[in-house]
Amino acid sequence: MTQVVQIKNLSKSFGSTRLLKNLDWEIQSGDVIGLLGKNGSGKSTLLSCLLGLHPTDNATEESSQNDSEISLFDEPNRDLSPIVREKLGYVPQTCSEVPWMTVRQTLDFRAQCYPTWNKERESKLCSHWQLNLDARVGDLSVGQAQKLMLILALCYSPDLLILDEPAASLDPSARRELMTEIIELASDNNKAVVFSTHITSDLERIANKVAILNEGKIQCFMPLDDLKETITKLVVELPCTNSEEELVTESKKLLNLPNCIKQYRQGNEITCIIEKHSAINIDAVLPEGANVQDVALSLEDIFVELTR
Amino acid sequence: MNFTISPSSGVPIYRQMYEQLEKRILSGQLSAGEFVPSVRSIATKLQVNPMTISKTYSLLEERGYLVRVRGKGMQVAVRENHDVSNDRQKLIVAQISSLIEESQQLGMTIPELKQLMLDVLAKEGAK
Amino acid sequence: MRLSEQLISGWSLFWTIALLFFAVLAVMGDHYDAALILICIASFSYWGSIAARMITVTQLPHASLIPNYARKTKEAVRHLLIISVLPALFFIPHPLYVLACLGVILSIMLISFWSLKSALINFFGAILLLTMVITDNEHNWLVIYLAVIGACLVLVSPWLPKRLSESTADGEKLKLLRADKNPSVWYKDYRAASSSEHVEKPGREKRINVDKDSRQTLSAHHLIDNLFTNRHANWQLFLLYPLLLAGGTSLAIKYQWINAESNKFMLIFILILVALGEFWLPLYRQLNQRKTLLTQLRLLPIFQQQNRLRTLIFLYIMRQQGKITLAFAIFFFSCFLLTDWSWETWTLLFSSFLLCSLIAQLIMLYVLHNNEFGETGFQVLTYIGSFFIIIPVTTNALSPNSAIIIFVSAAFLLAIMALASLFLKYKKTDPVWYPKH
Repeated sequence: MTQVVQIKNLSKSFGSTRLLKNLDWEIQSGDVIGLLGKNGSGKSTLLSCLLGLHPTDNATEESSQNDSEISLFDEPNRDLSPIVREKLGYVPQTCSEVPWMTVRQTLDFRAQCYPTWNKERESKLCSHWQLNLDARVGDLSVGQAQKLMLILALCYSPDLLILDEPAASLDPSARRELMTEIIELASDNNKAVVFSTHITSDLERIANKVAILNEGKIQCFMPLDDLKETITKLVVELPCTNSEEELVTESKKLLNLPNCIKQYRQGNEITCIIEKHSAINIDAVLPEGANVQDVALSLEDIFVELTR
Repeated sequence: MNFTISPSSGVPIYRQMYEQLEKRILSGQLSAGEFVPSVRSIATKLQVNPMTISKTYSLLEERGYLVRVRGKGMQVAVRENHDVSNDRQKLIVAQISSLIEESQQLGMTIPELKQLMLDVLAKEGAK
Repeated sequence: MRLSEQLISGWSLFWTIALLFFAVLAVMGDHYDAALILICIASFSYWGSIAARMITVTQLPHASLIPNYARKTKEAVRHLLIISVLPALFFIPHPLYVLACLGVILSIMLISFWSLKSALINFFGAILLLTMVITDNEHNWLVIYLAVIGACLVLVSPWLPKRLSESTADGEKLKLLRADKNPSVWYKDYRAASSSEHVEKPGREKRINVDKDSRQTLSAHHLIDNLFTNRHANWQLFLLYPLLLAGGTSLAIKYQWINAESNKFMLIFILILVALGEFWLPLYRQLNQRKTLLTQLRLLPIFQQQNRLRTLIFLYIMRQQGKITLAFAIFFFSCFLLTDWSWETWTLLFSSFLLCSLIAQLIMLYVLHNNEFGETGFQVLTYIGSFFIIIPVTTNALSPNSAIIIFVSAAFLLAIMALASLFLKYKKTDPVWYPKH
């Protein structure tokens, strides 16, 4: 396992909106990372800043912190050597390929740029995805253009593949095919894949790690299995006889529990999102007659709860 | 070999896989000495991350259900009959305890549950 | 296939060869200067389309991630230079042609290195102006006047509306900024309302929670905004058109293809050309857009809103503009042939028609889109430019022989416009208006 990406102190603003705030992140080879975040949370921005496609904010006087440092394969992302570039694959959200070229021309031209271009894989994917090689890129439908972009990124088996919502406009069978390709990449321990998505079922299948981007930071970055096993929801129903004050103190008590991440209360029902449930003795802090329910959370639930 | 996994359940995929394989090994569906499918083939078939499958396999290896054969893959371990029945019992005991818990939540007493069990067993036996 | 070969579009090659063919004909008929102009135009059209393609290649947003990409594109340009320009420079060592070629090469280089897209158009204009300035003719004042406008434009272009010169990402940002500042531009809401997946940009959440009906009204605003954007983002082209025509005319006068005898036919033809040039692009764009526009408008509840009248007027003019111009042109032309009114009268009539159209557009702009008023300044300049072309032509009418040459040149100027408009179409970042299929 080697370090593929290292981000230190990344900030990015658009106008007066600070989208990413002193974000730190590290990606190791062998990881398939699903990046989750709400709409507008900055997933695409993070991915393109990571690749050096967007300038990041400079250190300002008020924050007086160091400038951001982003390195890919131990090289600063502002100045990548061709060797590192050959290892990078990026599929942006919208098609940005040259519109007047045909699909074939685009593929041929790109193939010239990469020594490791795999022609067989190219023709295999083109035929599986039924891509018309003689169509102009500008005339392709959104889904077809996405397929083309994916083929462009997959054919040279990059060591770091970054996909910005790759499956958003793919049909189910093409999505399956994409998953298979990512699995293929993931079988090689030297590769890393990062993809942003809203389709959590895809993510749960193929990702081994999940990163949740919330409020300009990576709020949570851990193996998917650990996330599912450690984060649970406790719904504590207190007896109706409790007064409002009692309810407040009870909920405070619960909030003081170690590893209570989030808590909210509706009437006499307190919901806690708890990390590492087994280590806590919940009964000790609860009054008599409280009804505790332990709810297992799917990734979607976890995402909703954490970013609530 | 078929597996049913539901990626969006709260139970991690590797656990789901583990439970299904464990059951198959204990029931004898997978006999000792048989090779389980390779990580890659299962991963492609089920469309899950290969690491998840290897995690399942290493967990099964740890528990003594599988042995790694160099260059050939994972093989179902040959185990003492005593161990096998022990594990089978463990699996059933876990189910029984959850049954008891459920019946208690429904307000059933232990003697009632016992009676019910006997009734159902008698019915099944009559078939 | 090499990239350099891909950069040459079939159409531009066809036009170039056709122009060169005409040039050969002109040489055979001893019209050396006409041949020279045709060669110049051929080089404009050839290099213009190549440059337009080159821009899209170099402006690939993630080109920096692709190894050897810059090297490949530079190689392609070098290859093209070797195969196309150098032999031409060697065989036709005429200062005008060399200047034109150099200008184009320079603009391509500028685009690759400086990545200002509008540099291309500006440099075309600048080179043309230079050409006119160095060709000594009796209408020096006109040339100087146009040269000053052109030079000013080139100089101030970095501060002009950036729509043409922004990269995709920056353009997106700019739209957002504009939308923030001006509540009449509801661009982002349109995007937000039309696609739930694309609400990715910061600051957009602010106005998303509007009810469905008002969302649709907002998209009507957007629709109008977008059409106007398309119509008016091309002011540089509109300026270029009369400039090119002025250049052609001045040269024709200088080399005395145009003599003192009046030629009614040619005069009216040029006038019609000016008018069509003025309306040709919007017409072309409308043909592309009308289907979507009408389908979408039918779905919108704008006709219940207070902007109903505006929308109706707007739509009427937008839809009818090309037809109106054409109808007027035909009407004027037939009247001209049938009546014995002097050509001055017709010039006056036609010019006043153009002026009326301008005023109508100004009103439309003001009513619908007062924040775009700055751009109309260039529109005004364009019209003034058109009048300045008409004047010299009306005072020195054309000889029948040169008429053919001017005709061909003008036709190919239109061809350049077509290429340029395609090039602008590529640059539009808005996926709403240029559906992929």
